[in-house]
Amino acid sequence: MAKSNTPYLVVEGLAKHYGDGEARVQVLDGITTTVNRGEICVMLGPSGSGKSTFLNLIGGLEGADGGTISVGGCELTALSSKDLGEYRRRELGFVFQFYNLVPDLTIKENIEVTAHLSSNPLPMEELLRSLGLWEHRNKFPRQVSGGQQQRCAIGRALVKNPGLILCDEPTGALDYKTSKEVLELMEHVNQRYGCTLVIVTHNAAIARMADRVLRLRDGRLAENEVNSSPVPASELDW
Amino acid sequence: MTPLARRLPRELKNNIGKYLGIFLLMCGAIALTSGFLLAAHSIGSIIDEMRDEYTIEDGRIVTAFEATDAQIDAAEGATEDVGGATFYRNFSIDATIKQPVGGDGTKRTLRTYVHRTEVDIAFYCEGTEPQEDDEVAIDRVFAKNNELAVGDTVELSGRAYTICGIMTQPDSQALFPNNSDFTVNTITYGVAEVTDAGFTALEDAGGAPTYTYSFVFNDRDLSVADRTDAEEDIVKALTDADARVDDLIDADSNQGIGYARNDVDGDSAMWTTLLDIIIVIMAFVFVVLTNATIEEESAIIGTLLASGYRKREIVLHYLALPAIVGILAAGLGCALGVAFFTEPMRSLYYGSYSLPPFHVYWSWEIFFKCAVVPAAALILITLVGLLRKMGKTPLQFLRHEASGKSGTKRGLRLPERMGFVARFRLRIFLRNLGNFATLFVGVAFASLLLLFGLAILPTMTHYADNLETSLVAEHQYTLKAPLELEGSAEEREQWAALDRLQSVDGALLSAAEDAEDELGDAADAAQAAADALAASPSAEAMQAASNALDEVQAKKDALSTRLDALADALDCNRNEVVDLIDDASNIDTDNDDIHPVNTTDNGAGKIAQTEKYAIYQLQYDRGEGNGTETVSIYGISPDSRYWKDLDVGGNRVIFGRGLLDKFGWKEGQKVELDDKYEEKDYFLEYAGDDFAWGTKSDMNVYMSIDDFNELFGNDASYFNGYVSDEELDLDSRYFSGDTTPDDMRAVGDQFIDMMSSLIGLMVGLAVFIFLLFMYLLTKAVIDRSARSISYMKVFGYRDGEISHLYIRSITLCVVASLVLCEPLIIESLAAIFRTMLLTYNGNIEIYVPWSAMAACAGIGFATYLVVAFLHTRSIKRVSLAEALKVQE
Repeated sequence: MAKSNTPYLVVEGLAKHYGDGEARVQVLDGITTTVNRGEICVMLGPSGSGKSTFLNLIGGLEGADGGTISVGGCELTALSSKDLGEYRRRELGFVFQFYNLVPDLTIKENIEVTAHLSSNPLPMEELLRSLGLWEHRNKFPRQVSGGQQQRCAIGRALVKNPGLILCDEPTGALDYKTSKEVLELMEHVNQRYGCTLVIVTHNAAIARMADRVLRLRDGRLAENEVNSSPVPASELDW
Repeated sequence: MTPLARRLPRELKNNIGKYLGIFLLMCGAIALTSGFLLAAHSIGSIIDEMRDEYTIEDGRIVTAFEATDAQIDAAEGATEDVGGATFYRNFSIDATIKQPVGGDGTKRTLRTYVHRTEVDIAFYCEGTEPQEDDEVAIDRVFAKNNELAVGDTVELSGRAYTICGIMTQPDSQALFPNNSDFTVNTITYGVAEVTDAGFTALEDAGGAPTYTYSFVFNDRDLSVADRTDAEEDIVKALTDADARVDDLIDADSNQGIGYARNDVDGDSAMWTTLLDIIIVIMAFVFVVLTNATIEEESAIIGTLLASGYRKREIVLHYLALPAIVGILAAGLGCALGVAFFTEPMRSLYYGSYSLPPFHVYWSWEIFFKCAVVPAAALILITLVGLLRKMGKTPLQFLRHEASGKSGTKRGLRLPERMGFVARFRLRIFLRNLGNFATLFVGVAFASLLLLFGLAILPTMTHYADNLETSLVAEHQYTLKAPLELEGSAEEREQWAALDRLQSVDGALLSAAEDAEDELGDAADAAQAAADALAASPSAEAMQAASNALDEVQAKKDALSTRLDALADALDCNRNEVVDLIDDASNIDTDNDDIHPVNTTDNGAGKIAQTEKYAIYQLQYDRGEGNGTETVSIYGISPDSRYWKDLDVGGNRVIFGRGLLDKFGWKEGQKVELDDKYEEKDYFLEYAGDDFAWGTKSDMNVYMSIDDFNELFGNDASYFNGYVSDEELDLDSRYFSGDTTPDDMRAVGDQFIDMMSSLIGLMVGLAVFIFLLFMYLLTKAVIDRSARSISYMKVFGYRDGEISHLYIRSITLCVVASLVLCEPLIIESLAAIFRTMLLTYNGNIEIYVPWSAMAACAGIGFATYLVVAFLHTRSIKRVSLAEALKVQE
């Protein structure tokens, strides 16, 4: 599916703080950006810069102090907690650094867990094959490698065919080779299914495969660049 | 159903021990309870049907002496306002029974009635009703406990009878020798039926009849209030007709009729409560275990919630297994209970109560109580626990903040001077506070059951000892009226004569007395005629004198006829009757100060050691619909040799400690006691510790006999009992009862016999609960610490050292729980006993010897050792790889 120029994720003046008084920390301060439908957006920044908070706010896991977030035309800051749940159910997929797979469900069953939430999930066999997990579908997470577990986690996020997949340090727990395989898979998923990817990472090399690069520093957006010529994931090196 | 449901069989398989243990405990508890409740419900239904089927009386009165027809007519007449009542003679004699073989020498008594056909009709389980004079039908429970069967020959009051039938009397479902007794006596007491002639033979053998008149109102649906009013009218009518009413017992107050029903109802409530407690604790165990799982799977839950799963779906997922286990255990337990446990539970009651054959009456209420309520309670409590636990945001789950305040506990600053090991253990304790709190409750509950089982025998033995020691003499005789032991031979002869004359039909004696009076009148008239003839002789005077003489002769003949009739009745000749009348006439029966003299001389030695006392029973309203307590008021000698150290006299009122313990009367409290026959209230003041006496089983009130007689308006010389260390021979006409230490011991033994069947059950159940709770809750601690244990292995700690740190922490908590819960459970046991026994006459003080407490803690700890052994193996099995698992 082709990338479009239609704004999909629109963030304006987003602000968030933790604590009060002397302990107050302004984690995000006036973030404004736009991500188009089908883009890969990579967000970089050092620890504590607010990357994960940004992701959590987009994912409706936390409420913002100020500003607005619109995903596919849906204004998140106006939604109730229940509606945010429905939004996540309908629109979002999450991939975490530590996979968070259900240990006593097989690889296939872990993916089916979220397929169940969608009225039009992706075909399971095709997805498993494209994830390279077809051979391992009946294994339990402890019986496969970390990379395969993360593939499974990506499959779990993807299977319900969401518009937006949020990835929090998806390669943080993986070695170089496996990380590249996972990034190639994400690229493939983006291209094949047209979903928008927001990837939070420490790894600046990954920014090269992105359509849009955001760099956070002390809660502020230090860089918001459109990459007109993204590099295929297979060519990434670090 | 979500794909998460596929986890359930795997979760079940991986934790089969946990779920199986909970399932078995729940299933077992429900099976026992449902079996019991079904048996109890069926027995209740059987008892309810007996009222009409066997025409159970509405009440009974007992008169000191046989009531005349006129007195009974008066009593029946008094009930016209409520539609009338019919009175039936229901006389009995307490006959001593000797078994054909064996026997332990304990006196056994059969309360023997004439075979009934109109009221309180017996159900014959085996054999037939008595038809021959030497046949007797005996109570089923008594027969069973004394190994008697149809065809056996027994000796009743020295006369041989053949057992022709085994039966149950509907007014003796529970065998209470006295209605105010604390418990049934099925070992040394029973009831029997003989023919009229068989009954007369027992009378002839010296048996003193109890003159009981059972009555049935024509309107069997009278309200309790109307019935009570009518019964008061009956007593008044009888008293006005010069009958002396010794007792009035309404059917509702008759323990022989109502006790079994009340007992099954009370036990049903206890079983249901016990089940409810087990279910609630099981639910909390589920909550603790599920919480541990949620904490462990916090990140997964966070991911699922972030992916769009609703909390409801996650909650339902974690609720599924507890719910399935609960529903299966409830359903299967109920089915097993109905199929297999009803009969054993029935036999518990049929061993104590004499009831017609058992058959099952199904009730959906039992299913509701035993299956629906436990399953629903388990699900509901687990659900509430889950909802509480799931009240976090997805982010909190992702950040492993689902354990609530544990972060605070983990971060608690501990004193620097505390050694590493101590601090480590303290942190384990703090981190698992919820588990240990639930463990404490579980241990306390299991200890409660265990201690109940272990303390019941000592308590009952203690109670039996108290009862035995509360009897101040070897014999405590009660009399129907004052009867003097001292007297001259002449006086004994005179009273014997009167006694003998009064033993026949009163009409015969009245007729003879009338004939004698008429003869006297005729003689006077003849004397007058003779005097008139002497004063003025004339033919008319002569004729009048002659007629008067003829009249004298006629009256003399009439008297002779009456005397002959009396002689026939007394089985002697006319001269002996005349002698009897002569002797009896020397007694001034109009003088109330003169008491009958015992016709047998018991000897100066025996008489000298006896002591008179007076006793009267009043009722104390226990309040809150718990009925009335029968309180015996004793009037005793101020310097009694039997009631030692009991300082009475000068209006001092001393209260038995059992009363004070049971009702908590405080110093200065005026206690209202009611006389149910006289409609009169008495107020006795408890003046403080110096006015308490006896053991905590003593339910009497004591005062001097002078104060007693003044209080009740008796003659100054009134008394109605003797205490004696020697056996006395008392005239049956006045003899009411003889209570001996054996009787008291029998009461205690009976209780022990009834409860012993429950002891094994309670101990077994308690050990299982100990084992299950300790295993599940401490395993959760080990499981939760698996990663830490793995790290310690990585750091180089040996298995033994790790066990030392973890197991010792758990051990300390278990030991602390076992020890700390004991005062709590002893208080609880005392409260449970008090509540359980409030509606019964008497006071049982829970008695927990140190040995029982030590045994309770010992059994608990021994059970824990098994668990600790299993945990030591679990710690050994924790893999080093656990430390290497990725974790955020």
